[in-house]
Amino acid sequence: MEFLRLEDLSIAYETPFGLIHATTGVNFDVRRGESVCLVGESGSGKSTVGLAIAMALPPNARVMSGRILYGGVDLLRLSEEERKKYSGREVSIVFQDPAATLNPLFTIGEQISDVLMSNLGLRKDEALNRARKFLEIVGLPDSERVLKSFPHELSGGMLQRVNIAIAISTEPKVLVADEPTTMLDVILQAQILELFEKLKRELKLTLIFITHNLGVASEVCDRIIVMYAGTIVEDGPADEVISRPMHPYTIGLLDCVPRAHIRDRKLRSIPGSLPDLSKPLTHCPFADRCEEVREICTRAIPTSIDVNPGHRVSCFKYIG
Amino acid sequence: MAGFIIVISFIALGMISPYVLTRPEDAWGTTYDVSKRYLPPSLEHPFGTDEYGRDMFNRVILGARFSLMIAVGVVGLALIIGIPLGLIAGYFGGKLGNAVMRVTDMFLAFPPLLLAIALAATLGRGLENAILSLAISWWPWYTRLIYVQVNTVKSMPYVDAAKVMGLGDLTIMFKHVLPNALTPVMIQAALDMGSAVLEAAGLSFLGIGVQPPTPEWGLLVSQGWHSINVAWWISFFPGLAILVTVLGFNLLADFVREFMDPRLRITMMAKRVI
Repeated sequence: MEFLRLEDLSIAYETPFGLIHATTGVNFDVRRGESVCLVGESGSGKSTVGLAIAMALPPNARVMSGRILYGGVDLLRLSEEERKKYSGREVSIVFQDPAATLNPLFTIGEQISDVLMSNLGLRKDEALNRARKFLEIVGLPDSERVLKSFPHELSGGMLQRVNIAIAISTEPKVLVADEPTTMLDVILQAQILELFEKLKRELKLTLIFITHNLGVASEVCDRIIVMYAGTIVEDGPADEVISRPMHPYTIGLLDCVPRAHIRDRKLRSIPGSLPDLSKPLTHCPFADRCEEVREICTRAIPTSIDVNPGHRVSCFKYIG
Repeated sequence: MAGFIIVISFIALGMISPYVLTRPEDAWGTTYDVSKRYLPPSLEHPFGTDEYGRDMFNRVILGARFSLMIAVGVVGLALIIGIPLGLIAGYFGGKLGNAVMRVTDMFLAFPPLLLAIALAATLGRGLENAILSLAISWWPWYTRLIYVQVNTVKSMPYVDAAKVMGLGDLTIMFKHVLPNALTPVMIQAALDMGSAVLEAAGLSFLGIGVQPPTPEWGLLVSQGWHSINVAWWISFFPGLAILVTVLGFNLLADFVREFMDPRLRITMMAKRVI
């Protein structure tokens, strides 16, 4: 049995203007201890996939089809009682904005101990001891002061460490990180990425890392899944996707990354924008922006094809 | 700080006033002395005397008690009804929330004073009934205010994060949603303390609230009103008392706002140290 398996996951959001199809037929397996990056631009559906795994979909999300199997249990169809056993305990999530994820009116200590008391049934002093331990793990050695601080008294980097400490303090097996470094400056970004490396190594966490930054993705992850308009366009080992991208979108995305050491390389962007997600897909979603578009691309949705072992691409270029 | 002092002394005065009166019979309005009618303020009668020759200073002092009961009673009752309803409606939403809010809207559709008058007239005269009828016409405002706040706070990332980390609805409601939604309501409540005194005075004026000779401030103002040309002090001093009290509660509202937010609390403490 696979550790974590997403099968044909299609999620749409109900809006006043109708349904928005955030993901369409997303399939992938994650091995235990693997770290997977979901990469894509805004609106590619990467966060929706992450939130679905963490059971944190907003109330207006509708699961149109598919399952998320975790040890054989479908996380999308749990009762409220069962959900509490998995959410936070087995699967945790770190959000993008570290300051907004903490309640401004209570100290860090109170917020961590609340989680531990309700989740693991600890007493207050046990919870605080455990909180100290995990604050030290995430690189906040002055845990006593941090526990007594209000969120506004800590810096963005420290707050994100606190959020990570809360997320891992219940010792989940899967950690979803939804753009955890986007709101931080470059130096802090590097530190937080190092922290994820360390956690992955020491706690054997299975990491689902969501980012729009391919550079960040290749730092942290064994495997990169590139998403576009709610579909997976490419999925392969991180170094292979970076060094030998196959899908025209991945190639375009890599050209968008500024690289200081290559002076005469022209920074490019991908012209056009995402297709209209209010209509279900009828053909390759990237066809309108693709430089290598063919006639078939505007008529059918490409199926994914293995180009190398463990490296698949959804593009007609490789199909026929 | 000034607000705090005013409000504390108002509460203290309200509690001890019956025991510090120099002329209790004047204060309770059981005397009638024609020779002392309409005396202007003097050393003996600092606030003058009224049309029945009663000492206004004593009446105003005792009045603090009734005004305090009205202010705290009306706003307190309205908060006790209004906050839980708004919190439940906002947090759970859906059919339950809709049902609660439509009932609230029905109450809001009546002009509040009119509703209070109708209720007071039905319930009968007296202080308790005046408080009750004002509270019943008052709570929908708090329900609506807290409902809107809860809806804003409910979508904050820390509420999502708490849900994902497996915290229960009750914990989220009382630790994350309510404390963050409460500030505007507490400010509104502090401001309303003054309005409650004024509206109770309105009821008394119409003859359906507190009855004379009870020295309630609003009643004192309205009783002095018809002789304002010959004896300004009868309305003036109770009016001044209302003004100072309302001002005190308004300043208190500011204090409440600063105290409830840890970010502002620090600046406030810092200012006080300097």
